[in-house]
Amino acid sequence: MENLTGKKLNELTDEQVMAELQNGAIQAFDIIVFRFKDRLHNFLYRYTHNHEDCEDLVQETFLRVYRSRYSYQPIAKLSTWIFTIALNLAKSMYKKKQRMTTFSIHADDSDPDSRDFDISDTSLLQDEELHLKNSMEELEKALMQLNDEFREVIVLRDIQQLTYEEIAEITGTAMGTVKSRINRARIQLQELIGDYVKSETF
Amino acid sequence: MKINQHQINSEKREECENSEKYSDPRSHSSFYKNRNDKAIQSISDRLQNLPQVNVSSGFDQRMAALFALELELEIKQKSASLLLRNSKINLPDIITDIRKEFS
Repeated sequence: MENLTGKKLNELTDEQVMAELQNGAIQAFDIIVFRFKDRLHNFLYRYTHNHEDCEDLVQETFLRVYRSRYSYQPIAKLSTWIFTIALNLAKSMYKKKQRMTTFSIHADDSDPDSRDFDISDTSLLQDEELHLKNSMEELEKALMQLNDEFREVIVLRDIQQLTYEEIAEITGTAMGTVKSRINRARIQLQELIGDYVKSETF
Repeated sequence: MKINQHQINSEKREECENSEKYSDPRSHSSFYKNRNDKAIQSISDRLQNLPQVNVSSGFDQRMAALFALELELEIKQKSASLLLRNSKINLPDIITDIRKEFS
């Protein structure tokens, strides 16, 4: 087997990089981690709203990807396969912890590397900035109030920008169900954050 | 990520066209439907514009350490499996206390 350098691996598609990993190129794993770590974190953060759990889940997802590398078939996109693993892990973690119903937008106060969207000196905020900050917080809060089924599809669609087909595959549901859930989730979100949206939309 | 932007755009158009099908049954009139569609579109745009929440700075190091452990475990498992399949291979035990060898 030809041993590809990191630079050459970088030029390959996700599926080709995975094929290299299946052929024993360990460096391919680094490329996969580099390409997916932030996307996975961003997705899982919107699902869990807890940085610590979220990073544990991202790490565990990558380990599972490595362990089950031979079971991946290139008929599906690598991203779809990885997101499926991540979602399943997140679901099973939260089933165990039974924490899905108790959340706080500031649930991660102990995290020294807190990445909340705080703006340090609120007294200096202009009206627009304050409004933007508040509306983002409202949206994050509303997102966490959706039920799991609605939240996962709307995050995959509107934040991760995946296609219906990919979402259907990841969640294991029919495409019609995905479309309907996305629409109902948006309606629920609109109802939850009504005031902030209405003031800007109408 | 390679997003099929064309597919996403056509799906977004389809979402607007089909929104009546899934929309709130309370909003019957075209005026309310229009308001509803706009608000839903705004929600979608807002979600797209939420700030990206990336991994922390120490993530790569922690991941590398975990992966090193994983590789070590894999090598141990492969070695154990090899020994199991080849009963003729006999490896000496690890010397835990070298003083015993010289006493």
